[in-house]
Amino acid sequence: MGAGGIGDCRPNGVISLKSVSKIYANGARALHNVDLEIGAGEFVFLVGQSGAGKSTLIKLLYREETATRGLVMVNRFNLMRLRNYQIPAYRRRIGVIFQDFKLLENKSVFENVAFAQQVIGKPKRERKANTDKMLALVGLSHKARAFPGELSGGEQQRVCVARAMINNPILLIADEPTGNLDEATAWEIMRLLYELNRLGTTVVMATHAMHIVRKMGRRVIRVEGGRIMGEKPEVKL
Amino acid sequence: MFWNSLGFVFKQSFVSLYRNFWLSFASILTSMLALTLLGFALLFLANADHFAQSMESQVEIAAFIDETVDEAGLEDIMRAVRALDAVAEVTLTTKDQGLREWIPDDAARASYLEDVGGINPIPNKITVTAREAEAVAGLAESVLDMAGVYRVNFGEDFLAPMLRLTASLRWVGLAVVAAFALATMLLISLNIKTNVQTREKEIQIMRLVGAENFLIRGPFFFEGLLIGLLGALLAIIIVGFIYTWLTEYIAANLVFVPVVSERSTLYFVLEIMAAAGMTLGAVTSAVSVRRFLKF
Ligand SMILES: Nc1ncnc2c1ncn2[C@@H]1O[C@H](COP(=O)(O)OP(=O)(O)OP(=O)(O)O)[C@@H](O)[C@H]1O
Ligand SMILES: [Mg+2]
Repeated sequence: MGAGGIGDCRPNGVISLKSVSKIYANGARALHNVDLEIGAGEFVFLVGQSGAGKSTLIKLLYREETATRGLVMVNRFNLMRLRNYQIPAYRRRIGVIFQDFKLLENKSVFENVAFAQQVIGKPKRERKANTDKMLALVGLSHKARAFPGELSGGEQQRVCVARAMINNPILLIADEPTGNLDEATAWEIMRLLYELNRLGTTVVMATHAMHIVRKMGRRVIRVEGGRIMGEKPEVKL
Repeated sequence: MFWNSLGFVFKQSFVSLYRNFWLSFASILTSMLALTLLGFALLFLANADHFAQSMESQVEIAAFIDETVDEAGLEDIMRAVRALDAVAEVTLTTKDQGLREWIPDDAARASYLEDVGGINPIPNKITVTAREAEAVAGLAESVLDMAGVYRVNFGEDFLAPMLRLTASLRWVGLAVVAAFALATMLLISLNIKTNVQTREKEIQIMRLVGAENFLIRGPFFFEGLLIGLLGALLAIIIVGFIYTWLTEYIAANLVFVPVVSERSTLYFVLEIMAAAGMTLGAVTSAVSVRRFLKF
């Protein structure tokens, strides 16, 4: 492990935050002096009360927001220095899913997933092969032609996972992915994320579902009032 | 990769055009109107210039010489006139020639002369042709200032108001064209704003999965360009046909009206319209995309 300096992060560090603060334009202080290191292949939960700053942290990670102060490194991208035109290249290396799915209602399941490759210019044949593979991975091959409105919440979220993962990101970022799902369906999604993590994807997930967090036994980071108030390391089950 | 993306951009623009059909329709129609007006305004000006020129070239200055000036004096005046700027030609029509022109019949002329007591009332006349139309008025004044010239005639009565009319029509035409161009810009801008709003979620997802900016902005930009182009195309058809028909009609029925019927003038105007349409569409969409599609 390094002994300081800008490039200092864990040997296989995927995420490195140093003294990060975020103050929104309206003056709301969402994060104070956050330090955080997440290594490759980790599965990390972000927990904390509503308004604690979890989503803000997630937004910094996918460069929806930029930190007011500090250093944010992800995948060797210095997000503090990332120019607007460089954002697309960065986003292709990460996958993001949300509580509210964000699927296009007028496109089929297949088209929704393929869309993520269409808009980065992948040729049609490659697109089709990859989409078929991803739909098989999330167990939705039989729903390829259905539209989002015809799917259950769990199925919709699995489509989102397929879309997030189709460009082979090394990091999957999830903001309350089970927030709209009942318990059984939530576990369906968790099994899927667990599987992706086992295959090598680093997962960072913000959630309120403490029973899930406890049962998964992974690293937990507690955020309170914009600060990291404690950490519970991974419990090997 | 590039061609795949380009296909996406084009397809998106057409889909967007179709999605807000009536708004797109209105935008194309206004741009068509703006460009049609521009086309006719330009053709009108070309014709006005042409007309003015053909009138002006006929305009000569007639300078009438005092009775007291003898033949040598006449020569002096002509020499002085020739020395003036912008003079193309100077010819003398003597009293006798003038009378002969006025009353060609010998017998009739003789009886007229008898009636007026044997004194020819027609003055000596110098006809001055100007090199340029603009110089006519100034030249006439200089000639009038010369000793021995008591009066000058030229097409002032007719030409000056016409030149003034074309000048003001130029401005009115420009203002009308500008007003319609502005309306076109507002509609194109509204079009893009509406489409940005309807595609908000799609844009959000495109950004999330790392779509290049040109792929996000491209369709909107191209859509505006397309509106300008389609408007120009329609306007070109309208102006092209109407003008061709009009010139043929005038040439056949109003032979004495000088119209610009060379195809090259018409084609030049049509090219200007196409360029104006594209510029209008492209500039407006570039501005609106920057306004409505922030990072
Ligand atoms: N876009 C924004 N502009 C201004 N303030 C914001 C914005 N987003 C969040 N905040 C503020 O930042 C703080 C942290 O919000 P954040 O959304 O990160 O909390 P959270 O932990 O995700 O909460 P929840 O569990 O309810 O999702 C809150 O006080 C919130 O009001
Ligand atoms: Mg949140």
